[in-house]
Order: sequence, then C-alpha cells, then structure tokens
Amino acid sequence: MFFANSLLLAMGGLLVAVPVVLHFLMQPKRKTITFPAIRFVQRQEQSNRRQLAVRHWLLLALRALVILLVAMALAGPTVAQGDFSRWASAAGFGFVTLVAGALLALTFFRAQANKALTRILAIVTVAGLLITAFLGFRAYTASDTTQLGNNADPVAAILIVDNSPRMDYVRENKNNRERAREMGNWVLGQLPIGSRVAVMSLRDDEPFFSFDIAAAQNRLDSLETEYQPIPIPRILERAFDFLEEAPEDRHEVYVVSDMTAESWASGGDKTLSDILNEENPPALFAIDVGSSSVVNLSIDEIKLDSNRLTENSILGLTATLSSTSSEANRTLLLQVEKPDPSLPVIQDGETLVPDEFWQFSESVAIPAESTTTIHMKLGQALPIGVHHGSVSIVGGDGLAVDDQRFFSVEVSQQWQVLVVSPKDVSPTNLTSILDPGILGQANSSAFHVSQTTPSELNREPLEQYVALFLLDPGPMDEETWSQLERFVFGGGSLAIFLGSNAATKGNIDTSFNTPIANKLLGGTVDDLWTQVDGNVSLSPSDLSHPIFKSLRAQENSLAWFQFPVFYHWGFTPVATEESTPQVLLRYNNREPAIIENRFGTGHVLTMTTPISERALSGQLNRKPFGTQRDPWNQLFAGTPVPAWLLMREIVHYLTQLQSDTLNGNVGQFVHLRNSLSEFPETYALFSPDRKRGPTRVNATEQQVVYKFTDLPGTYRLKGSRNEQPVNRGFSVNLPSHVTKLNRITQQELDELLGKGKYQIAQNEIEIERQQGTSRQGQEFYPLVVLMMCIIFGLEYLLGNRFYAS
Amino acid sequence: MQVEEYLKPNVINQIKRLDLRAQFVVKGFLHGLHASPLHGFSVQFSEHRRYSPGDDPRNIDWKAYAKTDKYYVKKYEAETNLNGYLIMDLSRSMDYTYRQDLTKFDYAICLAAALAYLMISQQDPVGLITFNESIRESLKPKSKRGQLPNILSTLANARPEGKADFAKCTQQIASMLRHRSLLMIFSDLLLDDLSELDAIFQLGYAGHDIILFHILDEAEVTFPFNGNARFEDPESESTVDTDATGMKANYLKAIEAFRDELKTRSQKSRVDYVPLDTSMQFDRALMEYLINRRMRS
Repeated sequence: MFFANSLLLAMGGLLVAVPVVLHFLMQPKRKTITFPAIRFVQRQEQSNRRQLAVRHWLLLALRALVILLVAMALAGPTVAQGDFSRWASAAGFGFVTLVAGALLALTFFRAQANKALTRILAIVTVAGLLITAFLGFRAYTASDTTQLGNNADPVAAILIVDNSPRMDYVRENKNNRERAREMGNWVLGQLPIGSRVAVMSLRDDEPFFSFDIAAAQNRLDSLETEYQPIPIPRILERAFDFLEEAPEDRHEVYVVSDMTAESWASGGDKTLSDILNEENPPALFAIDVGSSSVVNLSIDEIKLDSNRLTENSILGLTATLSSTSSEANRTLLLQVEKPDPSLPVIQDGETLVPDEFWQFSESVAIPAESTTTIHMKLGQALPIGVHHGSVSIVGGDGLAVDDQRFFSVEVSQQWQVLVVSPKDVSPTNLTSILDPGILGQANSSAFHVSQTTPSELNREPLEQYVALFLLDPGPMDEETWSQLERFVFGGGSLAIFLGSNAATKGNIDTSFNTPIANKLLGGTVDDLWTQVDGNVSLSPSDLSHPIFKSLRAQENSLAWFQFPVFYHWGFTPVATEESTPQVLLRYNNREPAIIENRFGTGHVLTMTTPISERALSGQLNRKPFGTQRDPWNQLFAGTPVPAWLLMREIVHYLTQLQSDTLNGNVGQFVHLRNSLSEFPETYALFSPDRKRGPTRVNATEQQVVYKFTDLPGTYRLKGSRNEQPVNRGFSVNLPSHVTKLNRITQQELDELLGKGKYQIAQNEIEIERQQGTSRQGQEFYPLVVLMMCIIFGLEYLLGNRFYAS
Repeated sequence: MQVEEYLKPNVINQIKRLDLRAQFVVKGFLHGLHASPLHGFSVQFSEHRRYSPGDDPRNIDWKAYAKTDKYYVKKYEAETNLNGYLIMDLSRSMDYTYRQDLTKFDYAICLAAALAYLMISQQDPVGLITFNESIRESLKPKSKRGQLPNILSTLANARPEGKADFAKCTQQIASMLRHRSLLMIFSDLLLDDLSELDAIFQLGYAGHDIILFHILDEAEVTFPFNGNARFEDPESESTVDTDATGMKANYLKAIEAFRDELKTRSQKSRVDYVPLDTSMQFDRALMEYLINRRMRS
C-alpha cells in the first residue's frame, strides 16, 4: 500500500490523540433532572453503569477511528491494481469484524443480553478476526511490488507496435496498422516530460531509446509491414531485458496490437509470467486495435503438381482455401506470366514486369470456418523456361495479403538417366518410378530413361546422364570402376544396388573391394548376412535425410516388417580424406542398408540388398545364389508402399529434382542450381517491391543462394550468357498461419502474462485511466470514505444517546 | 370553547381560580355524559330516579311526570348520606411537573375540587384531610353549600412539602371516622416501602369505600429522557447519574410493575385503584367516583 501524502497520515495519526484528550478533559456535563420516581431509576442504575462505561470507551474508539480514517483518506492510500481486491476484501472483513466486535461489547454488558444474539456476534467476530488476519497476511505477502508514485514522474517506456501482415486488415476504410500508428503516437504524446522511449516492432532487432519523443514518433511512422513477425512474447522478453538497465523508477511497456492469437503465440514457456512476477515488474499495457468480428477469405496454400515440368506439359496445382466467417462463393483466378526476355527492367524508378498472362478462372464455394481444396489446370502448355504466376481470389476482402499466392515453375527438357542391369535382372521396379509412362500411367515423365547391361557400360557416354543406376551388378573390371569414378567426381549421381550377382563362390567378388571400388563406395563390402526367418527388415530411425521426405509424414504407419530382407551384404564404411561415408538407413539388425558417399562433386548411394527381386513363391530353399536362388528380399512384394516411396525419393535426390527452391516461404534461404556450363555467374535480382532497385547476386559453388526473402511475391533473376538473356526466379509466400486472425482469449492471455499483471485498453480514455491506476495505484479513497461515513454514523447514533438534550 | 375541553389538564391550567376550575370540570364532565351512552348516570345524579315496580306509588313526583311524561320517584336522603373524605397527600414529591403544566398536586387538588363540587351539588357530605408527615388540615364532611368554599380555600392554600407518612396519618384518619365513609385518596404513592399503605388497605377491609387516585406525572409514566443525565430526588435530594436512554425500557417495566402491584393489593382489599397521570383528562377520575357511588346506591 502506498500513501500519496505520508506526512499527512502521520499528522492525522497524531490527531487521534485529540478525542482521547477531550474524552478525559472535557467530560460532558450531565443534565440534572429532578425526578421524584428516582427509586425506580436507582434500581436499574447498577447494571446500566457497566454498559455506560463500555459505550463511553466505544464512543472514544469510534471518534479516534473517524479521525484516523479522515487522515488516511486525505493521505491518498493506493495499492497496485492487482492487489486492490485483496486489500479491499481484507479491509471489508476487518470493518465488519470491527462493527460486530463493537456490537458484541455492547450486547455483552447489557443487563438482559440476548444470549443467542451475543453468541452469533461472538462467532462473527472471531471468524471475522481470523479471516481478516488471513486476508491481511495474504494481501501483504502477495503485494505487487510495482513502484507507485506520481503520475508526472518520467518513465522509461517501450512502445511495441504490431506490424505483422495481419495488421493490414482493413475495416471502415482504415487498416489496423494505421490505427496502431495513431494510438502509438497518442501514447508517446502522453508520456511524462523527461521520459525515455524505445519503439519496437515485430522485426528481429534490438531495442534502443530514441533521442526524444519526436524521434520515437518518426520511427513509429516509418514502420512497415514485417512479413516475418516475431511473436510479441519474444519481443516483450527483449523489452523487459532492455528496461532492466533503465534507471527510471517506473518502467512501462505498451503493446499496440490486434490481439490475434498468432501475434501472441508464446511457444508455451513461462518466461514472461516469470518476469512479471518478479519484484518491481514493468507496467504492461496491451492496447487492442483489432476487431472481434473479421471477415477474411484466404488461400492458405498452393501446391504445384510438380515444380518442374517437361516441355509442353500442363501446369496443375491444388489450392487450399478457408474462410473465417460465413460461407463465400468466389472466383479463383490462376495467372501465369507470358515470358518476355526483355523484362524485368527499371523504368522511372519502378520495376516493369510482364503484364500479359495466360489465365484460368474457376468458381469456388468456401465453407464457413473451414477449408476447401480445389485443383486447377492452366490448359495451356508452357514453353521451356522458368515461369511465374499466381492464384488469387477475385474481389479480395479485408486482408489482401492472403488473397493471392505466388508460384514459380520450371519447364525443361527431360533428364537423362541410365539404368544398368544384367540380363537376368528386371529393372521394372525402378523404371516404373523413373518413367510412369512405361507402365501406361500418368503423363510424360521428367526423365528420359536409357537402359543397358554392364558389359555395354563401357560404350556409354556417361557425361550425358545426370544419374546412373546399377541394379545387382556383377563383378566389374578396373576400367569400369574408373569410368564410374570419373562420372561421380564430375558431378554425376550413382546408385548401386548390390545383390547375388556380386558374389563369387558365395562371397563378395574381390572386384568390389579394390581400392578404387572402396573409394567410390565409401567402405568395404563384407560377408553375406543371411536371415531366412524373415525377422530382418529395413528400419529407418533418423528421417532427416531428403530420401525420407515422403516417409516422414507416414513414419508411424509404415509396416516395414511386412517386407523382410532375407539376404544382404555386410558393409563397413571407411572414412578417407576425400570422403566421409554416411549410413542413411540400417536394417533392424543394425547393419547398414543404404550408404551415401559424397565424392568429388557427385555422390554415390549403395544399397546392400537389391531392388529387383521377384516375389517369393513357396518356401525359401536357403540358396542365395544360382539360377534357383531365393529372392533376397520382399521389398517390392505385395503392396510395396514404403519401398516405392523410398525409391522415388532416392531417384529425386540423385537427379536433384528438388534441389531448386522455386517456391518457398518468406524468410527461407533459396537455393538454385547454377552450373556455369549452363547459367550465368551473375544476376540482377528484382524483389517483389517494385520500388526497390535490383540487387546483384553471384553464383558460388554452382548454386545461387539468396537469403533476403523478406517480402511475399515473385523474385526475378536476370542475367545473360553468351549474350543471350537468362531469366530465372522463384516465388515466396507467407506461411498460412501468419495471416490467421483468430483473437487471443482473455484466459490465454492470463496464462501467458499472469492474471492481473497487465491491462488491456481499447481507447485513449481507458489507457489514460489505466496509466493513472498503474502509476499511482488503485485509490482506496472511496472505500476509506465509505468506512468513515459508517463509523461516523455509528458515532453519531451512540453520541446522541449519551448527550441528547 | 366546548365545555368538554375543560376536562383537559392543559386547558384547566389556564383558569386560576380553583372554584371555577372545579365548576368547569364538573360541567364539562356532565355535558359529556349527556352525549354519551352513559346518559343514565346524569339522571341518577339528580334528586330523582326512575320508577320501578315495587316502589311506593306515593313517592312518584307528579311534577316530574308532568314535565317528562315519565314516572320518577323522589330519592331519600338516606340513600346518599355517606360521608366523603378527600384525602390529599402534601408530600414534596407531589409538587412536580416535567412539562411545567400542572403539577401532580395541582392535578390532585383540581380533581378533588371537582369531586367536592359534584358531591356538594348532590348534597352529599364531603370533608377534606391534607397530610404529609402528619395531618395538616381537616374539614369534617358536610353537605351544606358553604362547605365547598371551605374545601376550596383549604386546598388552594395547601403547599406540598416534606415526606408523607402514610402509616401514621392513616391511623389518625381512621380514628376520625365514625361511620362507614367514602375515602378518596390523592397521592403519587412514591414510598420507600409499600407496606406503609397497609393501613389504608385495612380500612378497606373495615368496610369503608376507598378510591385510591394514584397520580403520577406524565414524565414519571413515559420517561421521556435521553442521554446522560443526573436524576435528583426532590424529597431526599439523593442523585443518580445514568444513561437515560439505556435506562428507559427497564424503568417503564418497573413503573408498570409498581402499578400492577398496587392494583393487585387494592383489589384484594376492595379498594378502587385509579392510576392517573397529569396528562389524562379529569373525567376518568370523576367517572370512577360515579361508578363507586352507583354501586353503593
């Protein structure tokens, strides 16, 4: 509890002595009444005397209490707002106890006291004493240690303005960011003279005190939408840390936000509430500029059927849409820019981009508070090159930023891959993945598959292939190994699936353990492992490698044990100066199944069991080799979903189909292949902000890496090679959660910050009142005056009985 | 002013002469009786009574019949020949009033004068005895008209002082009574010991008709005091400091009990007990007298 004028309280306390002195010095004169029937008075006087004495003392106590309460009221007692209810309940119970005690004293000394009433009053008094003691102790110990003081004292303040894309929501012709700016300016203007203030946004930067209020206002006015907003709780932690060093007595933090759950996402830790529970925490004001009734349609996600299309194939994509309120029927527009090699260019300080499009539109019903998906096809074959486009909701809504999603797609010639398999080995499992058309499925493949046998391998110009698959190869001579080494060293990808053909007389052929073979494979091939009881299967544990990309989502539902491995080769990885082999996948007997060895600029994947085995018919005859041998595994028997997914990702990984980040999220690093034999070394990068000039981007290590994807939209790379323009690019979108406008609930906010540790305001009047309450505390004045009036009334009643004329 | 107004103590207080007071009180009383269901009383106060079967027709007053067309018989003097004594307490406590209107003594002598007037006018013999520690004045009962001025003069000159000695004075009064008499006692009965009244009650047992007018001040009945007060006894001058407000309820109970006890003891002794206070109209006391007289007739 804090007193605005402690001196007055002390003086008032001394004044309590006045009624005591008056009581003894100025005993009121009794009125003398001649009364013949005095004998009847005398008989009652004895019992009345004790009651009279009690009443006198009670009257004295009441008068002293009245003066004390007057002094207390004038001294301006205040408590921190969070403690007001505790203090008020303690005071209330104390007051009731006082009254009950006074009545008890009066009743107790009455000659004909009502015993039931006395008993009730005694119980009430005792119970009141206990409750008051408990509440008083609790109020004292749990007291908010917030520093209370003068409203005009300078403060150290931090103004945090939510500048997330959500704040661009427009209602009543004004967006929330403008509202936040206005409110922020008002708050800055309200700070006491001499205050220091730091303006923070949801950008990932450190706070600093502005030179003066005007500088802070300038900084506030210059804030732009932050597309990678840091959650407010993280910003608050920084703010609190920063304020710890400020020497001012009072620290205040203002957060101007639309109070969306996304802005206040905490991650579940308790850091903030811990800070606010510490001694003398900063006063936290949350200023709500949002609205509880928002209407927002959004395209949450678009997913291209493929990032890379082959020449003249059709672009297809799936869009996921949602609505926050009522069901809506809208038109969805798919646009792809028509290529213009001369663009983009800067003209009059603005970037010109192609403005002609291939378009496709479709009506879609978006259900209320739910999501729907729609698949769209452009209906127009795209020429070779990188194309940029977008999907947008025609008509828009309050929040425009999630009404449009951008994409980039590359159309290229087919990739050349070579599948090498002995005549007795079927490549179907692999080729059906590489080229679904072979099986009469899907449309044209991204791959052009060539097949040959190991004996013909020497005659193949390997440099024209991006990937080479060796299925159950037999012993290979030194020259073949050298040819493969050169291929990998030059950037090619090689996959070797070892099987029964690698054996000679039941053991691994020595050609697989020659130095050059070991160097290429990244280790030595060991003895055959046999497990004919079917208990051995692939057992992925760490799914972080790209070859497990498709398996991650189904990790718990894949029943690998249904696809047993009866035979596999042992393998011992051997690290050298040139390479560090990595076991990507093991069997459940902990033996390596797939080993990756990066070598030169290419890499080799070795699998110790083949993928070309037939399904088992009948019993195993324990013959791993020969014409009547057992199948080595059942990876592709039955419904081979796990193996199929694994193989598909291995193919994509080896051919680097997914290596280009043509479509990503804001803030992600973008990697683009950039073989200098194919692409220029330097580009001019044009960001989606057409007011920004182009930046120079250089390719390093055969790729272009770009970090500053801070805006959603299409980033365009423009370069030239052999005096021919080269246009590439990529698209960046906001993650769908960034534009979710669901508001945080009071309960969630209480859990995050601690109940009573912050204040919410929606307008200037509320802020002003809460500022005053926070700086000066909640006034006890009305309560004290009320108590004073009641005590004064009691005193009046009692006094009148004694001194009535 | 209506004649009945003179029954109110505050009105009668404006009249200074005691004889007029008595006259007005009685006139007011009788006027009231004419208009009341108790009209028959007024006839009985005349010198006639209605004829009833068994009465000697020779006694019929034919003049009254000529005037009223009803039969009346003349009453015999023997019927009303009962000596009446007005016995007035002159103790100091009787000289008390809280509202500064009529003191208990004023009220008592006014009432006594009215009764004297009424009795004389009906040719009933009436006498007066005043007392405090001892008997101060004594007038033998007479029914002559000259008796009234004597009684009124004695009452007007009486001054309340000292303490009343009921036991002693009652014995002296008893010795003065030769025949069965009607004793009308006016007192506040504020005694230290109620056993002092035993002598009076014994007179009741002895066959005398006794009406005990217990006159208290209005304040003694209602206890209108509040706050811290010092009470002083006018007789003994003893004082009590107390909280009048807190005392009130108990005081009223005590007074009530006091009156109840007197009433009980009076009933046992065939004494008519009439509790009065100075705010009450005089008719109640007069009515009590008439009822008593009727019972005797």
